Amino acid sequence: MKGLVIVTHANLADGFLQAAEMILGSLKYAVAVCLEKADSGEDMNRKLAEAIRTVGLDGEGVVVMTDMFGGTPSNISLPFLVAGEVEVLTGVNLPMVLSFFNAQPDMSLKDLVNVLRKAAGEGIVLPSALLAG
Amino acid sequence: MGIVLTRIDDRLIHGQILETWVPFLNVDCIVVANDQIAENLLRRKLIQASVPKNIDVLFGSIGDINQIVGSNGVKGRRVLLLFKNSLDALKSFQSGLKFPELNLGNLHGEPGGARISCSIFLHENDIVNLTSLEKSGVKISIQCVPTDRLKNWSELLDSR
Repeated sequence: MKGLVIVTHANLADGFLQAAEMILGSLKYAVAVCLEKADSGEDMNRKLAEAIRTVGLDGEGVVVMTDMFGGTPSNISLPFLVAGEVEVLTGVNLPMVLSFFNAQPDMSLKDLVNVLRKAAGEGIVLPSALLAG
Repeated sequence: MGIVLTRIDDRLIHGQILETWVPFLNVDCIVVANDQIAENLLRRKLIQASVPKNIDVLFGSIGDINQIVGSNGVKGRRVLLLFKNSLDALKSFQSGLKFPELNLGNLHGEPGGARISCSIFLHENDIVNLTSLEKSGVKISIQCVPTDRLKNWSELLDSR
């Protein structure tokens, strides 16, 4: 099974996993890494490395979802990028997280993140435009 | 215009910089002074990609930074100058790059530093470096984001 790490400012990552569990039931191979103001660069790298190692035990690859490109959670994740093994996707939202758990298990990591990216984007809806159009 | 903010931030360019300081000070040019990053093309590309297109990002080693800030492409811009640590700030100052004020934003270092604020932890060498800068006339203050109350660094150091 592929692994999921969500890394964000403050407790956003915890929140996403809690929200996903409310909808899908209990989740495996998913870890939240919440970065705090007081965390040193070393602290953050250690937390993230540990999380990737934990969820990546099956060897099928890890997706690291971060909250914002250019933010510290993304910046510290990028060095962990390994083609075919660890992918990073920014702008995490709930549709992106749910899509991870509902994805076909035999999909390649590359195909998976493209599916997730699409799902995340499609999750942003402006109802007033829908109603007007 | 020149340098509108000189800041020590071990996270370099990140949310607080892009979402608060840049719009607050109308920064149009960020200069990152760091030896390792100046030599690392991949890191430079990644950092550059995270910055909106209308803001230039320049990288330089500590030895080159004085020249970069004084160059025609940078003079007259509203510049945010970023250092990763206190030693880099001191070395740049000593090599001729004079800044009248220094903002401490994020400084963690190895575990065991004295906690001055939620994101500033100072070791002995930091205190030595910053004291040296202060003695040379640099006004040093602590402010993570512009809406935080500006605090003088030595007040916080004395009161810990």
